[in-house]
Amino acid sequence: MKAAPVFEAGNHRWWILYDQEERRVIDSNVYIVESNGQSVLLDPGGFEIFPQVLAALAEVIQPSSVRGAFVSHQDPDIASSLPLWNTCYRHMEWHIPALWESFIRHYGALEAKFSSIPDEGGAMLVGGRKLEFIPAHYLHASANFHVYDAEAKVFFSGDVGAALLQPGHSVWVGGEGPESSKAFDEHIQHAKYFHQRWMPSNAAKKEWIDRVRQLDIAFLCPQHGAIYAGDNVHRFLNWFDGLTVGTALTH
Amino acid sequence: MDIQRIMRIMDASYRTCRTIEYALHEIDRRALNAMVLVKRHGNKLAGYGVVAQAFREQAAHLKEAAAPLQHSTAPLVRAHMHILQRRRNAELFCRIAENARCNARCADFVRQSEGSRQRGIAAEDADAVVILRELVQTVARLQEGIAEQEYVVTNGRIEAALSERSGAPLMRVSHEMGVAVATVRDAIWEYRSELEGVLHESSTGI
Amino acid sequence: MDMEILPDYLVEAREMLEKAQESTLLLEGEPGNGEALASLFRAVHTFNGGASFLEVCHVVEWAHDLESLLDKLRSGRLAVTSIRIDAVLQGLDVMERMLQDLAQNQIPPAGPPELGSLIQSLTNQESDQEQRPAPEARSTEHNSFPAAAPVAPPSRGAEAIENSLRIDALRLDAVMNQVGELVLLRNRLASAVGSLGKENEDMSRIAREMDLTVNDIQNTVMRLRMQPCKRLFQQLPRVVRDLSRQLGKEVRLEIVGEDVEIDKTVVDALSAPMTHLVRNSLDHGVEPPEARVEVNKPPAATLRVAAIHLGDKVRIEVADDGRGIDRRLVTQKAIDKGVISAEQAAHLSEQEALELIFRPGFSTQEQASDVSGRGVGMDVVKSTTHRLRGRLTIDTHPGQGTRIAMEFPLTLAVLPVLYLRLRKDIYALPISAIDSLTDLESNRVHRLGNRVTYCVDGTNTVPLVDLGAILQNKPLRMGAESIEGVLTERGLFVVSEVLGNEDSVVKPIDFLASHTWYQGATISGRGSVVLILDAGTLSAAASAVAEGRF
Repeated sequence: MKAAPVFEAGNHRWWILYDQEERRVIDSNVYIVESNGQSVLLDPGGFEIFPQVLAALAEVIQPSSVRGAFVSHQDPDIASSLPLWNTCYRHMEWHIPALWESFIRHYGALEAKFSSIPDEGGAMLVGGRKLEFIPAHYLHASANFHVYDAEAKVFFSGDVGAALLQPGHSVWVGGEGPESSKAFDEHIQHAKYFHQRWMPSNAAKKEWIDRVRQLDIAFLCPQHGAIYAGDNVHRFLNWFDGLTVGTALTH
Repeated sequence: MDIQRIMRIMDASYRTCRTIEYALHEIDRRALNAMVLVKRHGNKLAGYGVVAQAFREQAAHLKEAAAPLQHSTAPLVRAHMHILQRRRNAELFCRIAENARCNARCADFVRQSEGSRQRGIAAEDADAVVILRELVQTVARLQEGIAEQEYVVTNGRIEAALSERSGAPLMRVSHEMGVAVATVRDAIWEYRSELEGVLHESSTGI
Repeated sequence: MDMEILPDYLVEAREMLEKAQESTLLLEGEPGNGEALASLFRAVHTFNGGASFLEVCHVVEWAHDLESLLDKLRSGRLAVTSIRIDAVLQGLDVMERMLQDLAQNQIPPAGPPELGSLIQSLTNQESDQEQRPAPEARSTEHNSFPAAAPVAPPSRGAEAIENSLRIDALRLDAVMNQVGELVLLRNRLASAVGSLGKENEDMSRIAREMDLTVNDIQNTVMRLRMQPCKRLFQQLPRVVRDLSRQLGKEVRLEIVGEDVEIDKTVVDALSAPMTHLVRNSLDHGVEPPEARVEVNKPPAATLRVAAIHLGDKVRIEVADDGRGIDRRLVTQKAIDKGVISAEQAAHLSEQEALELIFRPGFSTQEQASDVSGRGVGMDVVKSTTHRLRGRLTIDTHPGQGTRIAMEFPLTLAVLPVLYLRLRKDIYALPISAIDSLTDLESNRVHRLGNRVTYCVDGTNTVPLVDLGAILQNKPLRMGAESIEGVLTERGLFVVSEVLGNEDSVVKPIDFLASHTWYQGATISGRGSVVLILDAGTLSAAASAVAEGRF
C-alpha cells in the first residue's frame, strides 16, 4: 500500500493509505488523523490487508502515536483487523456505533476497549483537536457514522463517494491535475453502481445530503476509490442528490 | 518473537529515520550557511568553502543511504504481521483442539493441521530473520558514511581554525556541524544495537 | 612619480607620440594641412596632460614648450616651416627617449638644453619670416642624441612597453561572455555528475578539477576587467580645487583607497556620478568658512572620498563634514516640486524622506545652479548604482555632515547566487545581499499593524519580507508549510526552502518592464531559467505594503 498526505498544517495531518496490493478483497482506503503527536485510524480495514496497512503506517507516522480507531459500521472490510490491531496496541480505544458493538466483538478481541457512539452522533479528541461523528444511518448500515474535521475541512464519508477503481489509481478524483467536470464525470461512472446497489434508501440519502451541505468541506474522503477535492465535493453532492438508489430502484 | 518487540523496532525505525532526516537537513543548512559566509568573504576562505561543499555532498549521500532504511522496515513489519495472522488462526485451532479432546478423529486432524501451521510460521520466521539481517547491513553502510562525515568535520575544524582571523564565525559553524553529525551517529548506533538484539533473539529462537 | 597609473600612461603616451610623428610628417609635406596640425597639437596636449598627472616635471616642461610652439602654429601666428618641423620632430624624439626612461622606472633627466632653447626661440619669434636654422643647434642635436632615432630604441624599454597590451573592449566582452557560458556549462556538468551518485569516482574527480580550472579562468578573466579606483578619483582634486575657489569655500580633499580594484564597467560608469557627488557636496553640504567658524568648526571643510574593499564588495563613499541634509526641507521641496503628494509625505519614514533627493525631478536649489544640477543629477547617481547591481545609502547628521555610499559587487562578470524555492517556483538571490540563513521561530515574529518584524537576536530586529505574499500573492503560513529564513541587509526574507548556491552568470531580461522584482535571469545547473531577485525592490515593496501605500 502507498501513503500520501491529504492535508497538512503543522502537526495536524490527514494521511491516506491506498491502492492495496491484495486484489482478492475489495480495495479499501485507510485514513489516519495525526494531531500533536497522537493519531487515530479511520476504518482500519480487513484482516487480510492488516500487514500492508501497518507497514504503510509505519512509514509516515510514529507507530507508537496510535491511540485509537474509528469504525463507521460493522463490515469486515472495515473492522475484521480489530484483533490484530489490538494485539499490537493493547490500550487503543475503539469508537464504534453503539448498535454494532456486540456484533463487532465477534471479530475477536473480547477485551478490546470500546467507546460507543450513540445514534445522534458525538465527537472525540485527538491531540486536543476535535473530530465530529456525523450520523449517516442507512448509508449503508443501519447505524453508520462519518467523521468531520472542521479545522482541516476534511470529511471522511465511509462508503459514500466510493468508487471501484483499477489498481494503481490516483489518490485524487481526476488525478494530480486541477479539478475539472470532465474528470469528475469520467470518475463517477465507477461510483454509480456502488451507490445504486449499496445505498438502500433515497430518504436516508436526502437527509444526509441536507446535513452535509451545512459543512464547509475541502476534501471528501471515501473508504473506497479516490478523494473529492474542491469543486468536486459539490459536484459529488449534486450528483448523489440526483441519483435514484436502493429500494426506489426495486419498486 | 514478542510482538511488542517488533512494535518497538518499528518505532525505533521511524524515530531513527526522522532523526537522520532532521540532522542531515541541519548539516545541509549549516554547510550552505558556511558557503554563503565563505562567498561573502571573497577568496580568503576558499579552503573552508571546499570543506562546506564536501559537507553538503556527504549529507546528500547519507540521505540517499538512509532512504532504504524506512523501506526495509516495511517488509519486516509485513513478515511479522503475517506471523501474527497465523498465530491468530493457530489460537482458534488450539481452542478447537481443547474442545475436541474426546473425539480422537478430530484431534488427529487438528494435530496434523497444527503441524503444517507451525511449519508455515517457522518459514515466515526465517524470512523475517533474513529481512532483519539486510536491515542491519543497511545500517552498517550508513555508519560507514557517518565515519566519512566525521572525517570531514575534523577537516572543517582545522580549516576554521586557520581562517579564524577572517572574523567569519566558522568555528561555531564547525562546532554545530559536529553536533549534528554526532546526533546522526548516536541515533544509528542505538538503532543498530536494537536491531542486533532482535536478531540475536530470533536466531537463538528465544 | 605615480607608479600606479604609469603603465596606463605609457601605453597612451606612446600612441600619442606615434600619432604626433605621423601628423608632423604629413604637415611637412602639406604645410597648409590644418587638420594634421590640430591632430598634432591634440596629441602633444594629451601627452602633456597625462605627464602632469604622473608629476614628472621634466617631461611636463618639455612637452609644454613644444605645445606652446604648436599652439602658435595652430593659431596662425607663426608659419609652418621646415626648420620648425625639424625642431618638432627632434622634440618628439626627446619625448620618446623620456618614455623609455619611464618604462624602466627611471625618472627622465631634463631635455637637451640646446634643443630646448631652440624650440623656445622659435616660439618667441614674432615675425613670420623664414629663419635659417642655427647650424650649431642641429649639430648639437646630433651629438647629444646619437641613438635618438625612433627606429632603434633600447631593447629593454621596448620590452617593458610591449608587456602591456591594449585590447578592444568588445573583444574583452566577448571573452567575458564566453567564460560566462563556460561557467553555466560547468554548473550543468556539476549537477549532472552529482546525480550520478558516488560510484563514478573518475567522473567526480574530473568534474571537481574542471570546477577549479573554470574558477581560475573566471578569476583571471575577471581580473582583466579590474581597474584601480585611482582612475575614478584622479579627476577629483582638480574639480575640488576649481570649485572651492569659485564658491569661496575652503575644502581639504582626502582620498583613500586609490589602489582598491573594481570592475572596469563600474569605473567607467561612475566617473560622472562621482564628480556630481563631489560637486553636490561642495555646493550644498560644505558651509562657507565664516559660517563654519561660527559653529566651532575649522574653516576648512574635509571632503573624504574613499574606496573600501569589503569581502565580495567594494564600497565607494563621499563624505563631508558640512551642514547635513534637513529632512523637513527635503520633504517640503519634494511636495512643492510635485515629486510626491502631501499625503504620501506623511507616511514616509525619516530615511525614505531623505531618499527623495534621488528622485528624478528633485533639486533643493531654488535655481538650477551652475555648479551642481547640470547634466548629471542625484537620480542618475541612483540609477547608475542600480544598473551596476550596487546599493546606494545616505547617512546624514544635521550640523555634522553627510555620507553617501555606494556598494558594488567586486565583479559584474559572475554572480554567486543562492537558489530558493517558493512553493513550486525556484528563484535566485545574489549572495552579496545575504548575511546568513536562519530557521524561523514563530515567537520571534512581531506584528504591529501591517508591519511585521523579526527579532534576530536580543539587539537586532529586522523587517520580515514574506516572498510568498509579494511574488505569489499568498503569504507563507508558518507552521502549516515548510518555511526558512534568509537574513539579508534589507530584512529577513521568508521562503519555502533554501536549495543551494552556485556561481552564476546574469542574462538580462529585456522583455520585462524596467521596474520589477528581478535583476535578470540565469540558467541553473539543471538547465532551467531562473529569475534573479532584487532584494532592494522586494523589501521596498514589503515596506510599502506595511505602510498601506499599495
